[in-house]
Amino acid sequence: MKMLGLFVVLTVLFFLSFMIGRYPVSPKTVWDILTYRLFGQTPYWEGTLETVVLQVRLPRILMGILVGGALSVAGASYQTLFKNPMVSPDLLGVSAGAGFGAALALLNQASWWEVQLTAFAFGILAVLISYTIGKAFGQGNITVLVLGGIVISSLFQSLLAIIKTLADTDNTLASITFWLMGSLGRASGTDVLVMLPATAVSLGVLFFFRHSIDALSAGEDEAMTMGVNVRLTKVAVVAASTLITVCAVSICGIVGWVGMVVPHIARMLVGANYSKIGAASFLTGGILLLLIDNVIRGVPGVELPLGVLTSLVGTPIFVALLAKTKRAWS
Amino acid sequence: MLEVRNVSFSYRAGCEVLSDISLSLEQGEILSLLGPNGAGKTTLLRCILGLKKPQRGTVGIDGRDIYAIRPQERAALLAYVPQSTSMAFPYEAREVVLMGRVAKLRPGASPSEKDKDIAMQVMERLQIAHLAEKPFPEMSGGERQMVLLARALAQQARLLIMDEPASNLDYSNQIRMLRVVRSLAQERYAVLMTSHVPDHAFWIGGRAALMRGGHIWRDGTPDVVVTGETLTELYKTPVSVVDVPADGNAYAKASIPFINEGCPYSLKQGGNKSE
Repeated sequence: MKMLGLFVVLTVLFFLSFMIGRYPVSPKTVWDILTYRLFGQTPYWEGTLETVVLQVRLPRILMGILVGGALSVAGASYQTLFKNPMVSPDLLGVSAGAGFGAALALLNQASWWEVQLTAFAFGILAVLISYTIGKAFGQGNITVLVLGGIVISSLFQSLLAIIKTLADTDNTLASITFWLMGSLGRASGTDVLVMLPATAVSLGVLFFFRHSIDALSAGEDEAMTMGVNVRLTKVAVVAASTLITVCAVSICGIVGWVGMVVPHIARMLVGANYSKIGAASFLTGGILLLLIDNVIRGVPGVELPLGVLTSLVGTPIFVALLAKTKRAWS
Repeated sequence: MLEVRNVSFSYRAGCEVLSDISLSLEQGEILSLLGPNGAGKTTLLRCILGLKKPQRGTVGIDGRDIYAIRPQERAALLAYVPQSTSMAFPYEAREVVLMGRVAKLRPGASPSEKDKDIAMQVMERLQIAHLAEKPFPEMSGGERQMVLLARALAQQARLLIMDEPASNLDYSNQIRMLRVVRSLAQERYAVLMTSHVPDHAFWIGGRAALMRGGHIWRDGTPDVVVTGETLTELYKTPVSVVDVPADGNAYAKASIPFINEGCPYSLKQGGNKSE
């Protein structure tokens, strides 16, 4: 029931989001523009309006839903897997790695798709190193894995700082800084076509393992005595979460807090069960990021950075959640 | 049904935590494992559960080598009731119990109505059906322990491995838990449990094994094995085991540690009053 409510909210918000911007478009017109080819209607709007809806707003709005939803599901998965409510999707260094990769590419005057590709590659690389550390020194022990992630995050942040020092302060440093603060404004139709299958595949994998992930919330040993293939489940969760996070970060830059805060909201709505919070996190994350991006698009004259706004919104939400759920965590 | 043969385990070379352990357990039997901290009780349980593989020796359940089979098959043979579990998130009791069915699910499938029925049945069997929707973190220690036992029973394995099932519980909950364990043995479950309280072995009956320094030192009925002399030596502290008149002509055994030198503290005042 609550899930249906969230879905309705997201759908309504999707259509309302087209009204924001210099050319307001009513939900009815959006519906007609999206479907007229299917139903063989004749367009009654100007060509520019169609371009604005299909080429500019639709990719951005879809991207907002996908990135917000995907990061939240990745966060929910990590929180359940690591038995820790303080965990976010960049736990194993994805964001730090991707940030360094993007900065490296920007320093070398790379083209836009090269920046995305380098960010993607270094994001994956960071997680691989963290995972190898966890495997080599902790025999797969989760605490060692988390420590590996912390170390690797901090390594790539140091490397990023070096690049920032080397960067030309007038141009390159500015673009690095803006990249790191995140934006959905860069999302194109092609980006959506990358993000959509990556998200679908990852969500499919996580859905497949949902009950094993639940069992892992009792700890690895207990999950194993319940008959869970712990190693396979861990690899699947880390791989799927990494894929969605690295895609999101490569396309939109670093979007903090959503992946950590949204699972808590979801848990308050539907309980702890992973199957439920997975779905609820996706919908809530989509709603939250779309709302935030609508604020960004609604403020005229300046493009506020997405990552900064998510932190601004995320912090009070998180404090409110802490006040409400303190008993359950003790 | 459980056959542990010549198991030796060490975390580091040359420092054996378990050395040459052999024990067996039949259906309907309860074995209480007693011993001081560091005797290797928990490590032995971990080896039997297949969480650690001993360097030497074998563990067989119903004739199958547990290190040669997958966790999923192992879960059908034996179930584990941990001492206490921290759940970071507010899972409801029925969700926790349903986790015990995870090994039986087809890949990617959700629990069926049958799985849910089994979960509900074991909760009713343990008289905790009223807790079904209570979040685990909000439960008392006794309630949690029952829910964890229900999760193990939902696995439908015939061998239960319980790590100090009655520790951390208040007096009435200890007795309640031990009663449940004994009734499970009457239903042909085999139960291997550790305990820090020698009296638990008397209360629950069955067999007791005393463990020290990685060895099984004594193994037999509690009446024979758990005596003042063995407990005194096992725990390096003076203990006396006495017969206490119970109902009618029956006697119950009780262990009494000597807190005050030379005399059990509980007799010091009681003796004056009754004479």
